[in-house]
Amino acid sequence: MEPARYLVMLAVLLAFSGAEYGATLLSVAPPTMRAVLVLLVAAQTAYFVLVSMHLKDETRALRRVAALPLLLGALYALVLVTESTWRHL
Amino acid sequence: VSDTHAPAHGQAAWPLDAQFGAASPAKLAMWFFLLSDLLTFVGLLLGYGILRAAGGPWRHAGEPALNLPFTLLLTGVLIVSSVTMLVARDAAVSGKFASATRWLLVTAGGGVLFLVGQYAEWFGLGSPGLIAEGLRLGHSAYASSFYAITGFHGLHVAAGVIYLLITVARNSAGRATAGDVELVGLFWHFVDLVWNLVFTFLYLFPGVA
Repeated sequence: MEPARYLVMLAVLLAFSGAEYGATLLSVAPPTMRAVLVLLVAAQTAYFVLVSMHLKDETRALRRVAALPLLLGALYALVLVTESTWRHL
Repeated sequence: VSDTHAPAHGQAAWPLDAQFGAASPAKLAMWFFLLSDLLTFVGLLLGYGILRAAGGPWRHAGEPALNLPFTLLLTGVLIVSSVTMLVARDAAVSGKFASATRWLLVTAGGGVLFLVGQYAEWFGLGSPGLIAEGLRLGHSAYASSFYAITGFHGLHVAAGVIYLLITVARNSAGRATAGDVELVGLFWHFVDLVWNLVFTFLYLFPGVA
């Protein structure tokens, strides 16, 4: 892989974490903020798994095996966000 | 079976599997281990989420807030180490094992730096840590979930550093294969991936409550 690719990956991963931190500095409603944070961390996790861990280069069967627990985690986050939003309505 | 995948440096050649292709049994085992480990972290974060959603004050009087800029810096250290791990992995795959050893050491250095940072956060290093400031294990759900989750992750970082150093030693002795470097890479990326979840849910969520 060319050095530029590593720098791009570094920039993308740092940008996600920076954006999450930056989002907490904005004055928006907590439910909206939580949704934004979940979306950002989900995108970062997907990037990590697919690119850094090279899951995108694996077979479909292995990708499915790996995706199931990740989807369970995402489902957990979705439940929390939904519950939080409902409580603040 | 004539169509085989031969990992670098003389390791056993495995036939291409109909389901998992060229992935070695060790690689599959690592994926299964990481996925089960991920569910452990999800369980911890779920417990934290349930406690936090139960209502009432999350942070009690006298308990300090978490230092977000410092933790963002530690997050950056882990992300950089994840990229250096990728460089090491690619070097090993290309047969440049001396280069891989150097980048593995840089990666381990990142892990040590993270652990020093976590030590400073908990116990203080030059300035008082969270414990001295009043965040005591067992005194509140906030404190207990914080120490349980960050402590469990810290153990993973420590294990990852040891794993990296073992791989460095084996690499230097000419006994490590590109597959071995790839395995330690998977573990290290996982440690970084989980930290990003911890950073978001444990550190940033309280800040918006």
